[in-house]
Amino acid sequence: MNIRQQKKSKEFFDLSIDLYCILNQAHHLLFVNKAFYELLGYSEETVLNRSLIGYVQLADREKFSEGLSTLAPGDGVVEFESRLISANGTDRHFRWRINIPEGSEELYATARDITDQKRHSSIIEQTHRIAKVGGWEYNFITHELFWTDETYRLHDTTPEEFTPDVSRAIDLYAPESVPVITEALRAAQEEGKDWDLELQLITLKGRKIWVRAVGQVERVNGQSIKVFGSFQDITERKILDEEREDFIAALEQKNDELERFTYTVSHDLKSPLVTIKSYAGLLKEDLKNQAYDEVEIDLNSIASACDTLNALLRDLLELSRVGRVINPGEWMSLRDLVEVTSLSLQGRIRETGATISVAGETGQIFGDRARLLEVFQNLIDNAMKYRSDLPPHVEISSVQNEDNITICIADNGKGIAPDFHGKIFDLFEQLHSSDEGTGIGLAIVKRVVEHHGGKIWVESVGYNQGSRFYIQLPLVDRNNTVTSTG
Amino acid sequence: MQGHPITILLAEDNAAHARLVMRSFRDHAVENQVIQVDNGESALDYLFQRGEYSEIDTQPDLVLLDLRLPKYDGLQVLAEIKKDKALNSIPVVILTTSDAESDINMAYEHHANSYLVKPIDFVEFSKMLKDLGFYWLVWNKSK
Repeated sequence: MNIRQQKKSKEFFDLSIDLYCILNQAHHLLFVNKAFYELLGYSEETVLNRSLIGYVQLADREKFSEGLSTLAPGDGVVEFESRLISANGTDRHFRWRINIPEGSEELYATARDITDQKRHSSIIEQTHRIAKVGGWEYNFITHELFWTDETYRLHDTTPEEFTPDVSRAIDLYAPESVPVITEALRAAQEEGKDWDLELQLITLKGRKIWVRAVGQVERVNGQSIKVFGSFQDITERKILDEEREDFIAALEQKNDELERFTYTVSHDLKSPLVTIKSYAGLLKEDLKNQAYDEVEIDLNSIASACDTLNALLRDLLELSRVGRVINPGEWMSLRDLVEVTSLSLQGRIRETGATISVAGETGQIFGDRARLLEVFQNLIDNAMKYRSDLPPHVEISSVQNEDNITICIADNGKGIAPDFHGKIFDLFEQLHSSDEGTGIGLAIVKRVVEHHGGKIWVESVGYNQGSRFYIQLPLVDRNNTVTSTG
Repeated sequence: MQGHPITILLAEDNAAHARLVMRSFRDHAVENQVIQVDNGESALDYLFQRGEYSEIDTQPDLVLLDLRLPKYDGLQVLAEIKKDKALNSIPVVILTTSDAESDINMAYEHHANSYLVKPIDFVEFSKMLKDLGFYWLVWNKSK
């Protein structure tokens, strides 16, 4: 080329937005067009006669040299991608096309700047990965199914490991979701209907996940050609939804409980008030009529209603303390707990001639000692109060497994008809009207047991058949406390 | 006002309240035979003539029923009475301390004939039962 020709060619090359360069065999730059300076920010003087390899991003240099090494004169074009470092230190992506023309010793190279394109697809890929959204497309004519990388990832697999087809893909849904997606696919093909479904899927690693599958149908001349859409992991949201629903249900239950509580409390407090006020009126009348036999009954009624009120208030206060006042948990032996309880119930034991025994090996239990004592006091006292004609006998035994201990408090008393087994733990429910109690005792017991993460239930065949109260308590988390098996 | 005495079944677990009812009837010379039971199960046993009441062969003319009763509560007793062909014509009057709307509605839904809230004052209590006694006497006479 003469100078004029060269000058003309240079003006022509400078128009291009792609890089044009000519390298010698040592890969030094002999010629570069204007795009080279514009895209990378170097000046002409600094670039010429320097090695192009020096401008290649370090991580790509090996790949770049490898690409160049395969070149031979007249042997066609080599294509690859690599990054160059610009003057301000940032990387730009280029797609290279390089050859050595027949009979030449120089390398002719062009490079297209694909930085924006790369960034764009990498952002899409990243956001899809973060949002756990995959894409897919199914062709009704060729039956080809295409998945994006994220769709593979959502199925816990890779394009190398798994080749999806439509029946294999459907098989990956959970049994209850298979008919739903099958019908959606049929409606898409036959009626051109789109879908937006929340389904359960079992991944290739056996994980059960929730996905939102959206499908849009493309139709030509009334015929469904293909369906494509997104595929999103919504397991976290589903779990949160479920947690929220459980939470709302628990709150509603608490609210109902509170409403019932307020109602029963107001009713049960009113009853002794009616007695007091009415009997005060009656008393006045009886004094006027000098009916002194009646006066004593009136006064006793008033006094006993006051005692009832007092007991109600005391027990209600106690009930509200359970869960509000929490003493630190401790290990204690069941035998010890029963002995302390028996001491506190000396009066009733003497009065009824009751015997209390602990059968076999008894385990250790963990919890709030004062509250658990209350549980045993209530249950053992009840066993003596609701006695049959036999002298009361209460036997405490326990069985234990790895996770919990089940304590049985069995008596030979009146027993409880099966109809009332659920009811007796409710607030103010009393089975016996001659009762000195308030109907709060077993409600307290249940509450204490539940606060310890346990369960309580009763078994009794019926009248005069005795009762067996069972308390199951967890043997607390081994991470927090040492489980004792003593 | 005259009438022949009627038999009243009083289901009331609070002994003091039961005595108030008896006193009121006595003070107003309302002559009745009052049978008192202290829990819902006994009330049903009496009405259905079973258990310890299996010897009974008459039905009460009126049932005075507290809502909060041991074992079966007043509503359960009421429901059993009203769904039994032989018993459902016996008037049932709820006599309770509760003035909660829900209780009143539930009682009428279960076909209670009347709902009386126990007044806190004896004079009122007495007057209420006097009226009740006379009302049912007349009702009984006109039968």
